[in-house]
Amino acid sequence: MTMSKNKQKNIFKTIIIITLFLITIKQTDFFKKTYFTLTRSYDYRLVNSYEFCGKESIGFLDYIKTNFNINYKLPIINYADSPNSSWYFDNLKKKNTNKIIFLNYNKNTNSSKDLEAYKIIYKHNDCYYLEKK
Amino acid sequence: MIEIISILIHFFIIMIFCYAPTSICLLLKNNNNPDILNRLEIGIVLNLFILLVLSFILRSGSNIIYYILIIIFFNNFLFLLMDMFKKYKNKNLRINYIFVFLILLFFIFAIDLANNLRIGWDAQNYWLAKKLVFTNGGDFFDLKNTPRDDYPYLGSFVWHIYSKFSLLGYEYFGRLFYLFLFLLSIFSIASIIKIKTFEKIILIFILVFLIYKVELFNGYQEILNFSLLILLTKIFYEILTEKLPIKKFNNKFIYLFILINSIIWIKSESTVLIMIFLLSIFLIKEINFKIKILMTLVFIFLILNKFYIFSFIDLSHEIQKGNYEYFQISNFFDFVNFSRVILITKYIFFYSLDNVVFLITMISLFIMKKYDKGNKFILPFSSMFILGLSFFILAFLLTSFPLKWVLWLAMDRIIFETSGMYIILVPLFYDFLKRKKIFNNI
Repeated sequence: MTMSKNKQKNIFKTIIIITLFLITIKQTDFFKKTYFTLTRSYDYRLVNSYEFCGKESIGFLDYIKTNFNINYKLPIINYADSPNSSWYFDNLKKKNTNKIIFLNYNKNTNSSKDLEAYKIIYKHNDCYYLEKK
Repeated sequence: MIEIISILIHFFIIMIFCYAPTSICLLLKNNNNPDILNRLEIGIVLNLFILLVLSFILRSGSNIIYYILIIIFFNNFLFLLMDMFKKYKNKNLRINYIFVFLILLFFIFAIDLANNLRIGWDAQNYWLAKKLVFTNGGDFFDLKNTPRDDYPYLGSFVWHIYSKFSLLGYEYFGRLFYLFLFLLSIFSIASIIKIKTFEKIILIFILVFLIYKVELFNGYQEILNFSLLILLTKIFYEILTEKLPIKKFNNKFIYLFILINSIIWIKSESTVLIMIFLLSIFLIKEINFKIKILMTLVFIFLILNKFYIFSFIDLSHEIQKGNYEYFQISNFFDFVNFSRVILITKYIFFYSLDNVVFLITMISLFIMKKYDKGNKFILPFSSMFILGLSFFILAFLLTSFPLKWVLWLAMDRIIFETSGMYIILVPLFYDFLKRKKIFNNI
């Protein structure tokens, strides 16, 4: 009698612990995220954690880095009220360059003089990859 | 697949770095039969202390500290194997279910972090900038070129070390140490009362559910302060439950000071939080006056040591540079006035409601104060609560930044990190309810 009562108690405890684990797994989207970790690269997940062109604009920086084969640090001016994203190029070497990146540059609110001094190499919305004229 | 395996391996890398041999556990905590969680709890504090010391001797272009860390790693690994072998020989090698539970939770949350790689605003601007100084081969002399050079750097250094000592070298592996510390602190605070494994797991689940959100690990340093404050209150609890009155200085105080030293190197306001903690425990009559004086002197020494090192590497000494620059006696009432106090109180009230743990601990404290009058922990924790509230009010009242903006930005974080001091009240309250046989009627 006591044995079966103990057994019942243990089953009950195990069910509670498993339920709590399942709730944790559901809350954190564990299986979906495990799948993403398996199928998506670290860089892909990093870039997608930020906006493409907006705030830190890591997506834009990644696009420039990949498509223009940038292997050195580019100066970045971020016109928005957000952290400087230059850390994204931090593992690249320093080099003097006449190229620059403007992020969140708004023609209506920011000085147009800034942009006139440069030739646009690539533009996406308010993000610019520029070269000094 | 490689990344997932690396996350699991990283758990064991951190674990081995933080593994304390039996002799150390015996020396610092009088524990000659520690389980794996006791060892890690002691080891993680020692590890932070060692990393702080190593950060002082790290020099640009030199790899010596990394070699020292590799030696420590293999040394600890050897101790781990020896202990396991000893247990196996004594037929005492058993599965520690709580430890398995720790590994599982770590893995689940690590996967969550691996898919939320966004680093927070301040973290990008300040803490990551300091981490990158070390990542790019710099040393602590280069920290003066980072924004907010008045901020301490231990958290950023730890971030760098654990991303360097990972298989893939990704930045977020450094932040997995923050996760490890957080979980370990919750697990260790749940073990201060003698309860069955099942109850302990439920208590841990409740605490983790109430606190965990992936944003806590976005590079902000509050999670480190929070976790270390939990460990601080735990050692304080252990000292106080051992033998009263406390007349002699025992080795647990050394552990306490090592911990305090690590905390003051995490954030600027940590010093104030430690002061609140010390002032509160000084209210306990059973602690001898000489011990109190000695604790004060050691604390002053640690602060002066930090001050000296900051001067040596040319960092700013100001607490929260720029935050209090316009406050003067002549414009005292521009800062300290009724409307500002009311605004801060409103924010404290609503942000406290948002922080469930803070709320539960306050309710626990209130109930225990009323019905558990013999409990000697009520007085220091009530004092910590009152001093903590005064600190919130004063810190925001004197700010030179727009008050609403600062409150909106920082109040939740400061309430969160301070709640680390009170979370011990949750297991104590559970113990109180058990003593009162509340659960017998359910």
